[in-house]
Amino acid sequence: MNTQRHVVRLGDVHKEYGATRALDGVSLDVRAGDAVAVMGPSGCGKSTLLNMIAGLDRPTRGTVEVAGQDLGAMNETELALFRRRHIGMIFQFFNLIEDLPALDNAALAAQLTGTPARQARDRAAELFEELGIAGRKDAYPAVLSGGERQRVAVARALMNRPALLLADEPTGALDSRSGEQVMDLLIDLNQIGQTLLIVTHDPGLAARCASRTVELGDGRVVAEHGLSEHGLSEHGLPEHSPERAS
Amino acid sequence: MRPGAGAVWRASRAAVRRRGVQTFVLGVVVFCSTVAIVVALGLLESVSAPFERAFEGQRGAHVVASYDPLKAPPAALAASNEGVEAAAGPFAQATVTIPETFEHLPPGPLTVVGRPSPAGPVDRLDLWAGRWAAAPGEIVLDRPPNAFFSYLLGVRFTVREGQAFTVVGLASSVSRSSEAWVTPGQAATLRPSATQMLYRLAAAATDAEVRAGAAAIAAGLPGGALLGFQSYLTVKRDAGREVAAFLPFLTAFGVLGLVVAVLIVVNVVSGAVVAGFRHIGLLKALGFTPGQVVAVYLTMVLVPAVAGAALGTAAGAAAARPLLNGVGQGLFTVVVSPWVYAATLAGMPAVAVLAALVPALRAHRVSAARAISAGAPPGRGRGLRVQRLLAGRRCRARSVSGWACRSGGPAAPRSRWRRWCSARPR
Repeated sequence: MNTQRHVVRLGDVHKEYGATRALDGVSLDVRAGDAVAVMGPSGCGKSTLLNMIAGLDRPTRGTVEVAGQDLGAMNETELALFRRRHIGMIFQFFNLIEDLPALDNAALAAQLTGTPARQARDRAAELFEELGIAGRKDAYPAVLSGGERQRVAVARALMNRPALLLADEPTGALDSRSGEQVMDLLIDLNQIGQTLLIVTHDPGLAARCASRTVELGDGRVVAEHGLSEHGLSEHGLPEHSPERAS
Repeated sequence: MRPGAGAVWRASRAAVRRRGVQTFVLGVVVFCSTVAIVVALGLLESVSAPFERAFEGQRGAHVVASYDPLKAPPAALAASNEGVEAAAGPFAQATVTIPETFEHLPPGPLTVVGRPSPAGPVDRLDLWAGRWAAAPGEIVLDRPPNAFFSYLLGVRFTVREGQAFTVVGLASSVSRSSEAWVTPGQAATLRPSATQMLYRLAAAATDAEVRAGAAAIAAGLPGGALLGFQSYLTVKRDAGREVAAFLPFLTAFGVLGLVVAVLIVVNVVSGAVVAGFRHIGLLKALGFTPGQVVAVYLTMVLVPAVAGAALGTAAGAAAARPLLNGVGQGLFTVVVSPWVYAATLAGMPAVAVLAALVPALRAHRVSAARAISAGAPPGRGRGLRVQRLLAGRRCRARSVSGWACRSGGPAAPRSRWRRWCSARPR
């Protein structure tokens, strides 16, 4: 599925919060169609890295290019305009707007790009159908289950057909069944060409959804390997996993 | 319409509608504050230079002159004089005596002037209760506008000179031109001892100017024709002594009311914005520009603020006069000018917007990543300490369940998904 076109290029990215060094010279390329998982222990800089790529935060030093554009050269407004067109985001805690019904949460993303409201809602309704939550379109986020909320978040992220889908611990707040469903969604999306970058603690999620894994430690890339280098068998289970042993 | 404006409006409208309690509280706070501000501004306006305002409002007389009717015939008094801006009179002026046995009025001499009406070019009387004297035997007394004195209406009394009167009205003269008024015909029967003329001078800022003006008026008349005159500056000083003790307190109350009302609005509004800090981060993460984020918050605040200010101004207009009349009885004339209403109608939403603008601008400068992480995750349970403790430990269950078999999931056919990703605009 990989092509040679780079969707993300990070060059020697540093990020410091006062005396704390969150990222320490991270370089990373993600090509169109890649599914990359960023892993590492808490506080290693995974979310910071994701925020840099999303243009939600700026590096102290280094370059961040997404979809061929240097984010460092953009002001806040340009970043926002860029983000709404090229990046879809899925958060661990969904981050839906509690004031809006599920369908409008998704439609809002398209409205932001200038799509008329009716058209945006129609598009969102189609996505809801695909995601199996058409029956919950008028429900407010507060009454949705975790899995439903995350699917609404996925719909919202896909509304503008983003070049890059970023997911920050997308299954972290879900029960195992809902987590499985979200993983399936991500796999499906990647298989039809959606570039994915997933931040996760969960090796299972990384193994199932990502073709490449980048491990961070203390703000640096400490290991980077493809699926075969990750110790996975052809069955998709790690050779040391308890499931395999049994 | 700019791209995304619909999204801004949608997000703002939804926030206003869904955060019903917050919107209602904001509207009520602005409403109450607006009522308080209308009253406070009305109080401040009423107590600021009350004599000057009343004097100009009633076109008070700079000089109240008494002439000997034998030496100064009415024709001579009515002639125009240099330095006189306007004149009223001549009015017959007599003195009657209230007997000591009469309980409703202080005993002793009472100056009575015959005037056809309370209006005129000078010294327009404030007929605040009853009506003007229209027939012999009717009298209007000079009393400050205070409901307390209303008991005098309809009171009958007989003066020592023998005439009987019924009080038909209560009026107030800022010039203190007389203690009572009757019809000119009635005044003629009271054996008037003087003729009253009321003057507004072109220059009357100082005692010297008033004295010079009075002298100029008397210059064309026979010697001894002017029996005496009263300067408005004397009346002003006298009135000032009465209200001087109260004005600082009333002014302080007015200013305090104003400040407290504004502070309450600022506090509630900025609190609402600060509470939405995470929401701001979320909007930014979705692609709202900083300007659009600020617009969402300002619209959220503006809707209840405008409604509260409009209703509060209307309620304030209804409440201010009765409230202030109760405070200012006899001390000042209550004035609530249109500018007070205009100021609250435009000012309160502006205060609310400014109060929202400061934290909104501060929040919009913060990176979206920080704003999002500032709020607590929407966890359902409690026991945050326990959660934090557990967060420091590795959770084996999660890593194990992650390797579980692929579930059925929403079972979306890949061909249908392709439409969403392959048609992506580049």
